[in-house]
Amino acid sequence: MKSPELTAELIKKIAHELGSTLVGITRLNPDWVYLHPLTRRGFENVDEPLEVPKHWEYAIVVGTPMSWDPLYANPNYGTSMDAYARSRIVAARLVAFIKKLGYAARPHIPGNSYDLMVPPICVDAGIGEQGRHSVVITPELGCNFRPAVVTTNLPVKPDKPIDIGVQDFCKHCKICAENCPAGAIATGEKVEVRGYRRYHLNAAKCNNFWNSTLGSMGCRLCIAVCPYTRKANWLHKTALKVTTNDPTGLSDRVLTGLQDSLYPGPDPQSYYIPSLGGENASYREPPWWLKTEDFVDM
Amino acid sequence: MQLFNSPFFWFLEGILFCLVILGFKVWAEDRCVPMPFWKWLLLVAWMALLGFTLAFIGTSLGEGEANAAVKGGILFGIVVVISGVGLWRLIMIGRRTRGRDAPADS
Ligand code: SF4
Ligand code: SF4
Repeated sequence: MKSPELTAELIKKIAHELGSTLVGITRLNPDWVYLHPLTRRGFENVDEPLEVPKHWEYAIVVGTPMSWDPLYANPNYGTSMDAYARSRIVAARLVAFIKKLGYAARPHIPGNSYDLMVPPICVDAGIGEQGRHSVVITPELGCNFRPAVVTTNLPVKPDKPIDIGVQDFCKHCKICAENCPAGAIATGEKVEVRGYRRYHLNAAKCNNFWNSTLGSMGCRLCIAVCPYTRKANWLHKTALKVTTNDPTGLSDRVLTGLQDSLYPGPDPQSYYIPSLGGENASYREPPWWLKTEDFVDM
Repeated sequence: MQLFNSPFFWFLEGILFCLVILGFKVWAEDRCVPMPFWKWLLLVAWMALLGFTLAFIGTSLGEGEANAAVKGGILFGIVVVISGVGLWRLIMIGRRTRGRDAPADS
C-alpha cells in the first residue's frame, strides 16, 4: 500500500460503500481482548487463555443503526439483530476486501462471534464516547447503532478519540439510570474497573431483564431514552450543538429537564411482564407494521 | 410530509416571510409608527421565536412525540404571547397620531 493515510481513506470509503454508516480505525489495545474465549464459540477449553494473534494490530470499527421505530418501541418490539446483521455483512465484506489486498483480517461480531470488548475499541477509534449506560454515544446516531470490528495487520492510519461533551452531560443526566427497569445503571460517580474509569453497569441485572422480556429478546431502553438518541433533525442537532459548546453546563441541566418533561416514558416497573408485576409496557407505541394482531388471527 | 422537506416549501416560506415583513413596513408607515433598527431587530427575534415554536410543534408531531408537541407548544407559546405583548408596546413607542402631526391648515 502507498501510505497508511491513503489506505485509511480507502478503507473508510469502501466501508461506507459496503453499507456502513459509521467507520473508525484504531490500533488494537490488547487490554480489550477477552482473557478467555466466550462459551458457545466452539473452543474446546474456554479456561485456556486467549492469545492475541500477531496480526491483530489494527481494529476497524463499522456500525449501522437499528431501525428507529422499533427502537423506540422497546423492549417489546425492538431488536439489536437488524443492525448487527447489517454490520456483520459489512465486516465480512470488508474482511474479503482486505484479504484481496494481501493482508490478514478477521471479523468480530457481537453477540457471540467475537473475542474482544467492542465499546472501548469504538472509543479509541473515534466513533463516539462511552455513556453512563456503557453504550457508545456517537455524534451521528447517538447510541442507536450496533458495531462490528475487523482486526487486521493492514497498515492504516488510526483515528483519534473524540470529545462531544458526553462525559460532562452524563454527570448531570441520569435518565438512562432512572428508566432502567432492572436498576442496572449506576447513578453515582465513575469507578475504576481493571485500571480504567467508567460508570459501573450491573451486567447480571441487565441480562436478567433481557431474558425476562416477551419481545424479540432484549431491552435497549437505555438507548431509547438517552437524549442523544434522537433523530438527527434540526431540533436535536441544535440541542446537541448547544450542549457541546456550552462550557458552563447550564444548557445540559436545562435540556435534561426538558427531556424529562417533554419525552417521558412509562414507569420503569411497568416494562416487566405481568407475572413479574409489570404491564409489559413499551417506551413508545410500535409502528403499524409491527402490530401483529392487526395482520394475523391470534 | 415530503412537502416540508422540499426546496419548494422553503421557497414558499421565504416569499411568505418577505411578504410579512413588507406588510409590516407598510402598516407601520401607514400608522405613523417609527421603526428604528432596534425595533426591527426585536421584531425579527420575536418572529424567529414564533417560527421556532411552530417548527417545534411540527417536528415533534412528525416524530410521533405528541406529548412534546403539546407541552412544548404550550411552554414556548406562552413565551411567544408574553414577549409578543411586550414587543407590541415597545413598537408603539413614539407613535404619532395623524391629527396631532398634521399641519393646522391641511
Ligand atoms: S438494556 Fe435495559 S436492563 Fe439493560 S441496562 Fe439498558 S435499560 Fe437497563
Ligand atoms: S441517558 Fe443521559 S446519563 Fe444516560 S448515557 Fe444518555 S446522556 Fe448519559
